Amino acid sequence: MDKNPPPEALDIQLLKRKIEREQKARQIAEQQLEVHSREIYQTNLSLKKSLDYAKKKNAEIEYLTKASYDVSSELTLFDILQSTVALTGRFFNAAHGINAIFDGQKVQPNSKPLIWSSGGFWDQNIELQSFFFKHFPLERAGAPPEWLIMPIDENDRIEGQSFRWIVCINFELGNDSSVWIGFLSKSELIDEEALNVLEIAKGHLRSGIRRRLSDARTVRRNIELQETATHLEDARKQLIQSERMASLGELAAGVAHEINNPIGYIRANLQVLDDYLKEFKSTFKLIEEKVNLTGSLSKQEFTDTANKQDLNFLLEDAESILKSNLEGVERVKEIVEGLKSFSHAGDDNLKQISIYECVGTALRVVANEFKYQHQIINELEKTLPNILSNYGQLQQVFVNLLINSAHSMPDGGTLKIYSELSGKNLLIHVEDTGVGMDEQTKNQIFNPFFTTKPVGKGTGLGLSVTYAILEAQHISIVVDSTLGKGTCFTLGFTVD
Amino acid sequence: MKGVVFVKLSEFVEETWGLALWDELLQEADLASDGIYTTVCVYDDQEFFSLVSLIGNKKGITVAQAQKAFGEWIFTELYAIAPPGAHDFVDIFEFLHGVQNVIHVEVKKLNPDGLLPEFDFLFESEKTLRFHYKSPRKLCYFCEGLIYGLSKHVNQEVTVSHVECEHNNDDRCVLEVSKVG
Repeated sequence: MDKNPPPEALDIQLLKRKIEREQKARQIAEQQLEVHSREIYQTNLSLKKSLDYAKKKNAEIEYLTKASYDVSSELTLFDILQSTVALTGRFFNAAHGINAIFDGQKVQPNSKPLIWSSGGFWDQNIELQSFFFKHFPLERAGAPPEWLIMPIDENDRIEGQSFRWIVCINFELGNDSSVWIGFLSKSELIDEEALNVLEIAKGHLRSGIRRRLSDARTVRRNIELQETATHLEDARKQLIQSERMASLGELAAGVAHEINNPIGYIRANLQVLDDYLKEFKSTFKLIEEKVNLTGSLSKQEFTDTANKQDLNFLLEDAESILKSNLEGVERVKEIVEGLKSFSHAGDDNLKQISIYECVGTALRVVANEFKYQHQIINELEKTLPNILSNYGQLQQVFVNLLINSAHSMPDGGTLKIYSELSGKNLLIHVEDTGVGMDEQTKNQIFNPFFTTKPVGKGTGLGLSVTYAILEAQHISIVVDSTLGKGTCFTLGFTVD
Repeated sequence: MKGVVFVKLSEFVEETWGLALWDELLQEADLASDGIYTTVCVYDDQEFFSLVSLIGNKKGITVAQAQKAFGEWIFTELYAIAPPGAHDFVDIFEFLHGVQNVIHVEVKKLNPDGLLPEFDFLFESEKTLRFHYKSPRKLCYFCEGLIYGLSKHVNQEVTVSHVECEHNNDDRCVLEVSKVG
């Protein structure tokens, strides 16, 4: 045997070993490839399964999200039920769906239930309606909502249809009425997972229905509250007017006296003027006689006649009497105007008004409450800025304050009305030197029916109405009082 | 270690020293795989170290030199099969950043279990780039060779020095690449 094979033989052996290695490597690679292919196949299967699962979960989430969105939206109960039927029908892959409201075991006459179809349209399919109603276990009305899954008997099918299942649920609406939601399915089997999702949706829908019912109750209560508020407002207006009339009644005697005074002297003056007229007539007659006798009248004769009849005095006095009467009539006119504006209920509208005039008319209305031993100092000036208020009501406020001031000073005293203007804040002070109040009284003066006046005098409503008027017009009122020294009411206005 | 490294090592040895040396290495190394390498499999790291060590013995060079030579040679081969995005770099430093941020990211997508070195860049100037080479395989010389291969590829002369090296009892490997000229 050749111990040293030729180089060619060695090369061939090398190449043989290389080819052998490469063949084995190829086999290994091919086996590996097969393993990889199988792994890829399995991975693909697993991916597809995951994808299907994800799609299913996505559909579930989408369904629950939409159902939840509808429930939390501002949709009406009717719209929510419609939307729920369509959403659930699609999710559940149902052929038809319905929602119907029942009173007891009878469908509500006005509720015209529609049938949803998987094509996405709604119609009034009487045959399907009856089919649903026949299968709804209406005797369950009032029981807690549960999804009921009932197989449909083969002999109980609508011709040409192959429904296998009816799935339904009912929710109580109160007052013996309930809503039934139902679906017809042609599927051979009901997907249990889908039922789990429907169970969650049931919770959403239940809370949605409750919220709508609660909203409806809230709306009803709101309407009732609004009606009550309107009644209260009417009562408030009536109270203000009644109190005004009561004040007017109290003031009537004084006001009559106020009117009677000028009327008295006007009447007396008119009698004097009547006498003067007779004098004028007799003078005229004398002059006429003389002219008829002589055909003329000398200056001396006229002067003599006039002197004899005291004509100059008569003319001067008549002039003075007329002036006095006109003043008296003007006084009466002012009082009547004040009364008119005070007694007139008017409206609640706020306008720009003159506080100067308002206080002025109030003072005229209550003038007779103040006697000769009272001193009234009104420091308000015409130049005060206008304020936004209701003239009649504010006049009522001042009348009340002034009457109280007058009554607090039975033996006389000083009433002072003055103002302070600082920027946009206008303060009006009504200050008297009357009996004043202790702290306990002061704390009660705005309470209805609280009065310190004897029975038959004062309604006990004056200051409570005053407070109500001011509060409604956002005008502040502050009371400062010292027993035995006097009281000061300060009203705070905002000037525009 | 990925089979492609072994396949390329065989090509390198055959191309550089001939088939006879490769055959001799396999016969002497007594490898678990019997030297039957395919790119679709992974092999024990130790086989690579045994083969490189034997090359050193047979050719009278150090293991470091053998690794460096193989690294320099394999660069073109790896570059050809590198993922998209690896070919957009023209500068060496830019490429080294790209190894970390692009190439290794793409490789990980295909081989999530692949063990890849990490570069922690410590310093960079216009001419110098210093980074911490982190790999349990400690193939810093192979990495140096790759950098020289890259240098040739982009025609940009560099020097690579092992500022710190685990093979010299340092705690870590720090390579410094300096552009020449």
